[in-house]
Amino acid sequence: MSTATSAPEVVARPRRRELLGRQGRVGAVLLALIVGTAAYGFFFLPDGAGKKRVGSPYEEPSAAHPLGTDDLGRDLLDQLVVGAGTSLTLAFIVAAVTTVLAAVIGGLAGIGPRWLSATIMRGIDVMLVLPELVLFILAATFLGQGFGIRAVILALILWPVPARVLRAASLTAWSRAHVEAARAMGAGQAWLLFRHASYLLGPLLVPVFVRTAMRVIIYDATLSFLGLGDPTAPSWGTTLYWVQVNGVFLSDAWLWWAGPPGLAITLTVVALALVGTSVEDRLNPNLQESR
Amino acid sequence: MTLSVQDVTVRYGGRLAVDHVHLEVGDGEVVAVVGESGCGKTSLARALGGLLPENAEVSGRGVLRSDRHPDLDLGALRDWRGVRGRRIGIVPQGAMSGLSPIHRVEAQLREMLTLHGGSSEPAQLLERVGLTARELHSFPHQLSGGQRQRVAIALTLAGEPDLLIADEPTTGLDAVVQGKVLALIASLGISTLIVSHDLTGLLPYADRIAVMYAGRLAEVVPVDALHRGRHHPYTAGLLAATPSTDRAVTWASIPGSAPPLDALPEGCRFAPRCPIAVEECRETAPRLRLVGNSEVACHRAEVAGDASYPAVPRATSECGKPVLTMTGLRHTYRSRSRTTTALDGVDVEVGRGEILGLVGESGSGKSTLARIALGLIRPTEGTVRLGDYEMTGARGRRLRELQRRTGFVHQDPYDSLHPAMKVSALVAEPLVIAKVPRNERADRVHAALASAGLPEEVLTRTPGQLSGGQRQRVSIARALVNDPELLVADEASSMLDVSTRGGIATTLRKVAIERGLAVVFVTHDMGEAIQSCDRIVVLRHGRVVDAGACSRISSSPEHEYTAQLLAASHH
Repeated sequence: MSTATSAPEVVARPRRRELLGRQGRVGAVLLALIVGTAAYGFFFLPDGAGKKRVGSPYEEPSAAHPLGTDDLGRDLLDQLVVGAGTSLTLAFIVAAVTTVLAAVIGGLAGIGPRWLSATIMRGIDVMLVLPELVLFILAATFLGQGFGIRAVILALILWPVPARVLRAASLTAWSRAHVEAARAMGAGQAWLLFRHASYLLGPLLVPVFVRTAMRVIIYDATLSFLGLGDPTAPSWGTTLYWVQVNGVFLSDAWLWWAGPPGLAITLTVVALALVGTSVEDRLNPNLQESR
Repeated sequence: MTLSVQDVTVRYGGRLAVDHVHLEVGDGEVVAVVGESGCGKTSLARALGGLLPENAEVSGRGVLRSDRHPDLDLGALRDWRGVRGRRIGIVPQGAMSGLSPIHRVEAQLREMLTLHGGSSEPAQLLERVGLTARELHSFPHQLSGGQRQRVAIALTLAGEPDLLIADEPTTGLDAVVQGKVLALIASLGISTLIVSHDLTGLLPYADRIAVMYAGRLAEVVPVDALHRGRHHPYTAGLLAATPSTDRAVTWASIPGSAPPLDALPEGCRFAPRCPIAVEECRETAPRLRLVGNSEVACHRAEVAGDASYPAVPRATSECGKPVLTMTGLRHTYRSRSRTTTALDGVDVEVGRGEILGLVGESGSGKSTLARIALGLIRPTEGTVRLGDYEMTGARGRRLRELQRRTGFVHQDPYDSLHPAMKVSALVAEPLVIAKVPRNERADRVHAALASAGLPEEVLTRTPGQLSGGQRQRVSIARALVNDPELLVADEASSMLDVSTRGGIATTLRKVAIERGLAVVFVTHDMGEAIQSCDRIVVLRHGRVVDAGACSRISSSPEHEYTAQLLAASHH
């Protein structure tokens, strides 16, 4: 009767309060700070902040310009704050679109008819073989660097991996006894999904969202750094592009010019990773068993 | 006396799992610790092997004696190295996962011999457990379940232990193999403690039986004395609750279920379920005392022969016109490399008010057949008719409408109920799906609960707050609520304790009579089928090998395989 005695513990889920844990809370605080900075830039900085010339070129940090100015005399702190908005907006939009795409496609591959599942899975395999970054750079080069175009390209590149994860999860959910019992009652697919599988699949969307946001920030910064982003819109990657073009690393200026955007990218990715892994640790039943 | 322990107590947090247990194992004696889930038998075995998890507190005294080693004080023992393996051998539960999948049997045996300084050769160890040197070079996946369990026993023998502890050593094995493995353990001549939930299965092999209930010993009795007279009402209940393959022996169930560890009753813990309990039983806890040549913890041991439990009823009338007719069923599962034929030309018919038993071992196709009857699997060939409607051709909306005329009780009570839904919502779910008007739902939910034998107060609970038997009753209520014509119970009691199985069968019989329901009862236990069904269909490798009335099957099986199943159900 061991199966009977051990089963009830499986049902017990971690309390909501423990959803994040210590490392997750550190990540959430960091992320809140960054989002707050971005919101400040969006609501309180004047239009054209970071784009307009406000001082003389190559100024060192001072009270008026805490991070100095760039080669055109634009304020670097303004660029950092406005850049946070650009990066996070792109990251969250793309992450949302990718999560929905992955859920729909992965779900269809999991519970759809066999031919559809096979077609989708082979399609995903092909997508996985393509080098994502190179594809992104090529597409951005030929299709343009607008915000919308970048978002669409990233979403189209990033959905296959999470779709695979969600297909596996929906297969597992569909084999659960209470889902089978509901099917035997004559329940339709929509009922099965929303009443029975949603609590199993929903939690998995959180790490998918967070991980995608993380990769978008890195990929977009890479693109801007290579000079393929929009050179007029301030963003962390664009600032780094001008760092490289101006040979800033040959002087002391790298400290206040290259350092802050680099640090901002690192911190954002670390914050997202902390939140993502700790949420996943607690919500993914497979990881719970192995701990 | 190889092992003698006193006052063994195990707590998890504040929950008392084992409560002052005294136990002795004589030289070469096989002692079986028997009880239902949550009675503390596994905690006791783990405490003796030093295998309890960190959050457990253990206390007690004990001595392990042997003529080859100095006495070992178990109470003062802190370091189990050199004890486990050399003094106490542990036969793992479920040898499927107990062996390393990437090493050959010989390498695993050699490792144990080196680790525990054993002097035998791997081939000799295999010979002791009834295997040959040929198996030395096999990987575990090349062996059958029974062979694997034998290898696991051989591994335990490598350190030449004084005491063997086997925790449910036959879990996951088919009935025929179970008996052989137990016989092997009993024939080793080593003092052995076997922990199991299957009292009757152990009777032929054990010397003494220790029955546990809710953390305490209920009775310690030599097997031959058990055959002559029973002393503790719980022991009597366990024996009566094990279905016999003889229709003349009635099958009973113990009402209620075992108390949870954090809400143990005062006095005798079995009193709330005991048919002969008196005031004294509810007030003072009985101590173990000598009655005849067994130790019994019961105030009423002298009159325990009168204890009678409610029997599972039989059919009262002839069955009506057929509800489910399946003809010429064939089903094959295809995977990339091979096709498996799960069903091969099966005809089955169930009538109104009839309970049909589908019996077979794992892989016989019985679950596939049940799922075809429910419209969950479309058969490769053959037709299924439910009432006047053809089910095989139906798809989509029409199929779902037909499915609303059937009820399904799933094998696993712990997974078949949505963990976040209240019982009221769970039972009403088929009505919501079938779009029954809201104002009719409450009455039908109440009627279904009553039919399934559940009190009204469970309506506001979630499955996590119910026992396994209660959960399975919720499943039955859910299956009944939409007034189905057919009920399919797929191993509905296989994961429940033996004392509650009869209760489920009683409920199924009651609804078959009251509601004129056709019931398909899938089981691997021949005894259970013979006791609770009207007709039995025996499946093997997807074919019907025997079919007929229960009495005919139990008295004169036509097929050799049926006879084997009957013999394996050992009582």
